[in-house]
Amino acid sequence: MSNKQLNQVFSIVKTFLAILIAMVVAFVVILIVSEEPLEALHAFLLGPFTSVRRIGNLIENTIPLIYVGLGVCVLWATGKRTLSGEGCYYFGGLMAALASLKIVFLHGKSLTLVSILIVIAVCGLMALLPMLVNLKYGTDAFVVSLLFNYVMFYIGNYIFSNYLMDITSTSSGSYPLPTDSFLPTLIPGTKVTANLIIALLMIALMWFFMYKTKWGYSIRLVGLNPNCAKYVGINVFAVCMLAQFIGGAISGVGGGMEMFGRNPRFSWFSLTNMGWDGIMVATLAKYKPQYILFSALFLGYVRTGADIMNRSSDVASEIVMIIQAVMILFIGASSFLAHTQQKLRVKYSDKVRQEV
Amino acid sequence: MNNNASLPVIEMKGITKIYSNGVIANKDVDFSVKSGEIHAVMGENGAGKSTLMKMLFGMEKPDKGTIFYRGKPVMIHQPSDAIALKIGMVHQEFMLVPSLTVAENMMLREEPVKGGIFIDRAKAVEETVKISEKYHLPIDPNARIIDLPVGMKQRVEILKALYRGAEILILDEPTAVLTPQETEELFRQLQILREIGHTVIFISHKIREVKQICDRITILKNGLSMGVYNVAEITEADISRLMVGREVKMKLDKKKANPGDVVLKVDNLCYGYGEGKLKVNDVSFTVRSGEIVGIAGVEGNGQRELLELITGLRGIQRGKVSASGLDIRGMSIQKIRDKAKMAYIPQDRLLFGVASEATIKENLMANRISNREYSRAGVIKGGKFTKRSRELIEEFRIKCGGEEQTVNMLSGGNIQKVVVARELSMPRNLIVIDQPSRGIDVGATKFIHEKIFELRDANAAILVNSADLAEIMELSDSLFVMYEGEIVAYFKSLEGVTEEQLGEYMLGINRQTPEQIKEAYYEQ
Repeated sequence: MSNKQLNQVFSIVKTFLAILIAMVVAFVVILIVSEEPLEALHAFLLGPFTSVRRIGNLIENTIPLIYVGLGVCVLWATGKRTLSGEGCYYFGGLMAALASLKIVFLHGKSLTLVSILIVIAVCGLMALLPMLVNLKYGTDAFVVSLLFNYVMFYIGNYIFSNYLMDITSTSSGSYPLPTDSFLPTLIPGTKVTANLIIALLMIALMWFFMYKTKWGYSIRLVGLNPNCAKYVGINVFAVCMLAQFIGGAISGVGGGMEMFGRNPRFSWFSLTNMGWDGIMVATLAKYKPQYILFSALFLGYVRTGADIMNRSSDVASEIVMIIQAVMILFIGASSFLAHTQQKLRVKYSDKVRQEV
Repeated sequence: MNNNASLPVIEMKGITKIYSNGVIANKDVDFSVKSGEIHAVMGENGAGKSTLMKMLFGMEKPDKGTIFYRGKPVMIHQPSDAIALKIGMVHQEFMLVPSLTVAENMMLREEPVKGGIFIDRAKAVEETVKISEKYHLPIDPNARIIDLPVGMKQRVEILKALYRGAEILILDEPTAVLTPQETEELFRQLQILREIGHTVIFISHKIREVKQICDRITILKNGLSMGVYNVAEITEADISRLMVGREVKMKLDKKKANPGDVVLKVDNLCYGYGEGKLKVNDVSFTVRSGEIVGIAGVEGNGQRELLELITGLRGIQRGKVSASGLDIRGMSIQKIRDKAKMAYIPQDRLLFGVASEATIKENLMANRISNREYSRAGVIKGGKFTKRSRELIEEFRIKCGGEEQTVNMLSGGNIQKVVVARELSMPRNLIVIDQPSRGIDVGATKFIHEKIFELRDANAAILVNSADLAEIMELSDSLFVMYEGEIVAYFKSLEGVTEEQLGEYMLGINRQTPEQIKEAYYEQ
């Protein structure tokens, strides 16, 4: 086995082992806290597949995770890590609601399209700011984007409570979103809309962008070695900004799409945490767009299962947090299994010696 | 002492070390040094010399094998364990604090204290003087490191190791940064140490030096030990054969230069305002098509800054650089590359030359993604990419397992070939090369030198910088010497010029008249 193959095998083994360990930890916790652990486990593991509606839930939960996961793949690809996905997801939802409620001269699918274009433009531009001040003034991109998310939230909250809030309604939220702008439903009895197809197309598109275009190539080269990128003549500033625009826009679209069929009203009173989930999804997918579907599906499944367990047993859905934490810990731990890997490396090198 | 003189003081048995990128640095290597000898560890770059010594000094952990100290097996987990065994190491990059004085550096982490709190500076100076007198290595204890020449910095490192009680001293390529004069001085010091009974392990790939000073040699090749030899009983040709595997004829056929028009023109270039001394101080010269102009000098005398200014990596503060008739001030690097047709092979290939986790193909194509031949409307033409990569791998004889292999799997010489292949395979008027053969094997060096001559004969203007005097003298048609940011000497032709002569200019002992230096600049 060559070293490259060995690294690949270990990369896969480590990911699955991390998932396995996390699940085992979750099971142990369930066994300890639950009066009827078997029912809880059953609801958690198999619950998502027991009805069409629940399968629908699983897919509904997965779709936004695809967007935010892709968002982080691009946002982080230049090696400068920002948390802009969080703010952009929230702001995307808000802008979609604002556009579809306030643009009165458009109706139906043209309203949907225009709203999403607005989301792309606004969220893309918003995501530029933390990177701009980083590149121009040397601030920390991570910290500034984290703080800027709150700025985005408070601006959004101001817009929400002054222009969109429906105070006449009993259910708190915005005015009802126009149903004619909603995307067509794919699975009857669920809220799975054509958004699923768009999300899947987005995965293909992002893979193509990152690996088959010169812009994606430049972004990756900056991520792998910014000095080298600069030296071969790549405009590092422009490339970093481009990555932020695209990553922010995708995250924003993820939030915006939630307003076209899933939610009857805009009702986000706080940041959604989806940006952080995006980091989780992207990490699990090794920051490669082509793996995002699997990692988003997995997290969507765990979320849905925990939700069902929450409703049908005595275990709270916060168990998901434990699973996530343990997984991130093991996937992020670069030395996890490193010793075994090094031993195998030494073993396989015996063959190489004869070739030397 | 005579009793154990023949006994090995250090023995390493069956040492294997594999790096996480799969590179086998050492494989079942046996190594031993006797007390009171100067023992050379020889091999090409990448043969595993430094790694072996780093394991002895506790900076790397062997995957297999045992280390014995005076016959007893020992575990060396970190440098402090090695220091406790009286082993000291002087690294290629000096580990000194430039803003502190010699005495302060000597006492780092072992500062003498007064009243339990205050550092006793007088005592530090006194101790430094004492140790320097003991070993006949004179040094000014109050000089700041930043003001010292390289040879002196190295002496501080040696003294530092001795002060910590080292009786076995590992020197990692100590002469790489020294001028001929400084090298002589170092050898004198090492002989003094040997006379007192200290042991010196001397890592080098320069055969001549090893023949001159060492008692025995261990030769490494591709991570394997090729045996231990008494220096007196082995010829230079044999050493070369064991190191490289075949005899390499270094003499190249070089035609006479036939210079044409001026391609690169540098006028009164200055750089480094606000950093104390100017790094580049009023430098003017020209490079004409069809000639190779060399820069000689001890490293750190402004050569790197000069080349980075010319290639656009640093912004020009004062003066003017024009390449192919274009003033490069304010031009983006991409424009300098494409419009001024300039290629640049940087000194630090891992820092600038390649993205080591990317594939060979991606690295080879990095400078042509915007070229219409390779991408349309932003979409990369994958087939063209692969085809051209394969051609370049073939043409530049890059030893690899295909264009999809990542660059970090390659040896230093082959990584350098990737950079050279990418840079020299586009039509260029001007080629700037910084340390063409640093850290690469003899075969790859020869290949790159031949390529440079080939391009010169095809009328390119070439500017080369190298800290290796033998290399720069072989490559250059004409040559200038830099000292403290200035050009201090210019030689129109190298006929009759000796290394010692150049060494005097490099050390600042000698300096030509302004009229002579002005000849580096050809008016059109």
